[in-house]
Amino acid sequence: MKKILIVDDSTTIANAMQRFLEAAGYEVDTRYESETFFDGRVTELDPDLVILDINMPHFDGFYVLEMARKQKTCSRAKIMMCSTKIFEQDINRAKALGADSFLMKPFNAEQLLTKVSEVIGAP
Amino acid sequence: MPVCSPEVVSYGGCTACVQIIADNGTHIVLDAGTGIQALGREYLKKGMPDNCAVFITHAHWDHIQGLPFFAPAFVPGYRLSFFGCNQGTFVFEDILREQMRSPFFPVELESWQADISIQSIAETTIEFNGISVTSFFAEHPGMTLGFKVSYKGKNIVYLPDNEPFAHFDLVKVFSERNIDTENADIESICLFDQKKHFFDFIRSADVLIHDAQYTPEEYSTKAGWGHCSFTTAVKSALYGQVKHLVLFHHDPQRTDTQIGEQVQSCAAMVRATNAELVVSAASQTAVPLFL
Repeated sequence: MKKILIVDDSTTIANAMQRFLEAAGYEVDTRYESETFFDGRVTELDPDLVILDINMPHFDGFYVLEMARKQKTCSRAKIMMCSTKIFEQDINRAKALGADSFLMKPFNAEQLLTKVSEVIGAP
Repeated sequence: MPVCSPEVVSYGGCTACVQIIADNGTHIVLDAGTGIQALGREYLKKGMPDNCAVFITHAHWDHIQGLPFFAPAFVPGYRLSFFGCNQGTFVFEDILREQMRSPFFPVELESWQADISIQSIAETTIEFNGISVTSFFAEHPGMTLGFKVSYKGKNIVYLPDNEPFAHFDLVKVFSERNIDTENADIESICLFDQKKHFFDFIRSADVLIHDAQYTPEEYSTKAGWGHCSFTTAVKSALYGQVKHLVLFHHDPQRTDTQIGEQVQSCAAMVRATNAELVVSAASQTAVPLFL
């Protein structure tokens, strides 16, 4: 079963994504605080996909993305940025830092599942 | 960008810089656009406050380009605190340092002789000599903060660059209120979450200084550029039960006459709702607001 890690400080959105993705057959874990991305347990989790918010307290999504790629945290994982920050500059920056995909908020369940399966395939 | 012409003498042509003075003598300065140069001269003339903090929303030029010309930073014995956000791994202090590095400017940040502290912040609350400053990530390209300055039960919210609902249905934004987050569809949850985040921050503010760069017509071709229309600013202020909205971040092409017309147009929007919201436009020559 494909594993997905959601990192988003919005518990309502993270929980809703988890609910929809689990119903679709994916195994899903969530982190509401960006700093917990670096606590070592994420590497053990070894996700296939990280869905990463940008506007977060403490470490913003760009920091997490850049450090994840530099430190090779979850080196196997694809990273999908998921944010209301839809600005072209932010999308280009995320791509340059090593993001594999970008999902803009708001999105519906179909868009979420389509994007996820495009990046990591079926569950 | 700063502008200078006979058509902008009433509202002024400097870029973002707002000064807040508390009755305990503390000064909070929001952004360091070209307006901070005149503020620096005022401090040299009248004396530097013991407690002065400068909060920077983001590092786009119009918000920091006055900083190299802020004379108090070069005066030994003066004390200044700077707060702003990192851009990923590019930390706030280095961002300030880079804009003053040659060839962009001949005097480097290391030449500052005042007693200066520079602190990176994200979404947090800073307690500064009795004043609370809460930061909030705004919707604008790059990491961009807004600030809520709270003192003695009064709140001033400063969101100079913000396009809060660029990809949302504005009819839904300003109509629907509550949803069941356990059972709602995910699109509704996204809308609910964004609204909660934004309106919790501005709700019941005594003063909301908000981005109002575009007319609705201009916004139709500039959505996604990180700024909003004055009509969205008014609707947001009404929905958030704000007491006084200050239209901010005037487009560089806007004339005094046009800004005056925008204020009238906003006032008409407010009258149609029977709300008591006051609307004005930010101005370099305005009488200061007393709260």
